[in-house]
Amino acid sequence: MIYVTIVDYDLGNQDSLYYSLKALGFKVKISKDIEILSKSDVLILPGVGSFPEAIKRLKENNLSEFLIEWSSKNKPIIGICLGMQLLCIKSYEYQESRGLGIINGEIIALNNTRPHIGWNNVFQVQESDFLYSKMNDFYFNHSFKFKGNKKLIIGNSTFNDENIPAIIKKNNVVGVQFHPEKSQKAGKKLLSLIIKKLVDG
Amino acid sequence: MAKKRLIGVVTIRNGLAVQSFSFNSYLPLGNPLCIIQNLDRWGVDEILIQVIDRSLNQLGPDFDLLNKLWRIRISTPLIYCGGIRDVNDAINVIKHGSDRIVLDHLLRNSNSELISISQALGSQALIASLPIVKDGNKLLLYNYESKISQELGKDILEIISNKDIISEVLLINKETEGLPNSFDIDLISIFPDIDTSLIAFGGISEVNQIQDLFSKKQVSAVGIGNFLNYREHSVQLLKESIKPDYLRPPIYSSTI
Repeated sequence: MIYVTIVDYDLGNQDSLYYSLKALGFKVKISKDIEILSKSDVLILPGVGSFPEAIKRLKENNLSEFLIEWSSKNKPIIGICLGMQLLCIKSYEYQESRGLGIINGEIIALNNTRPHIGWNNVFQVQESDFLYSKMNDFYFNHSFKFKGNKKLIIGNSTFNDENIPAIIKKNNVVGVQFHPEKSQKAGKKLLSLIIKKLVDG
Repeated sequence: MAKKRLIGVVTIRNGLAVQSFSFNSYLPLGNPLCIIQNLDRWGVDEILIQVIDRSLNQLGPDFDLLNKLWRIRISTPLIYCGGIRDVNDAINVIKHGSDRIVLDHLLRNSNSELISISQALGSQALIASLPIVKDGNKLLLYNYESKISQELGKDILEIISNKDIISEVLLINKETEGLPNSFDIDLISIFPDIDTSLIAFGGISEVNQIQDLFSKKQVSAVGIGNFLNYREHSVQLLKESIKPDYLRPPIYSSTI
């Protein structure tokens, strides 16, 4: 049995993620308690929210240092949408804010004047255990994107000719810009695969 | 390439799903959870739940409904509308599993609260609701609380034009809501020339109508209400008839 804990930083769509993971057969908790988080096989940082508000709430809940230490021990973390962005060094959403700095990159505004909202394909740009050449449509909802070391990007999407890094990976840390938990069966299948590969190899 | 979206709209009043006619009369349909579960199973692109008696009766958001939704394992992106009073309500609605929220009451009554919500959740999570009445070549904003229509104010135009505050406008044809094949496409061309995507809703039921709307650059999505409940697999059947460039393909359980 794989123990998954959704990191509760008082923001994000944690309930829908909780029930998605339970339906996939994982043992799931939502918690901000370091003792519970420490006993997990994998941590998930959920999305939906603005970067400055989220990083403020992570700090208020004394979770930033714990997450940085967790990743330094090469333990698995998955960041979803905003959760992926929080793993990076900094973001320019509303203002310049420092992130967790676990992944070497920054979060910049899309070139497009409109946000990237809706279903889009993801194309493999590097080999990985859980992505194949072209994946089914996944649900995106964001106005900012990852910019950083290209070696970390394993899946891309495009939006009005603009490249959108869709999946990034550094060691045991994976970030997905889309919402696998809200991407119906294809999304759940991918989420399950990522968790199992990170934990069991 | 991101596709346009077909949004299943479920209107709820007094705990029951209803078909609303021009914001005026309501036909009860039954348990909203059954309707939402069908839309999820048929692979609609987003589900918009609008609980229309929450703000009117100052009840706050319907968290009981949201709790029940996740227990029936919905895995379609969810947009929630109804009773959101402040930033705490908005954050709690998202924590209860919604991805985005629609704001109507706050758009008309408290720009400062709306901006606070945007700063907490990010603009991509916010949709502005505009029930519109066409008066010649003028567009009037219908206030469902006072039942009065008045010109779109400068302050509302500024809000809906600002991509740092909201991401899309839910453009509702008030007069044709609930009537099949009746959405007035002229609303799109008369609507102020702003760089904000529009979700068209109110009297949309037919393939040709949807394609005409999708041919408009401003339209990112269409919302369809009770017309989706008329037959099994209505979402897949509509998607099969619409040009594949516009929408992601229909999803059938057996194909995954």
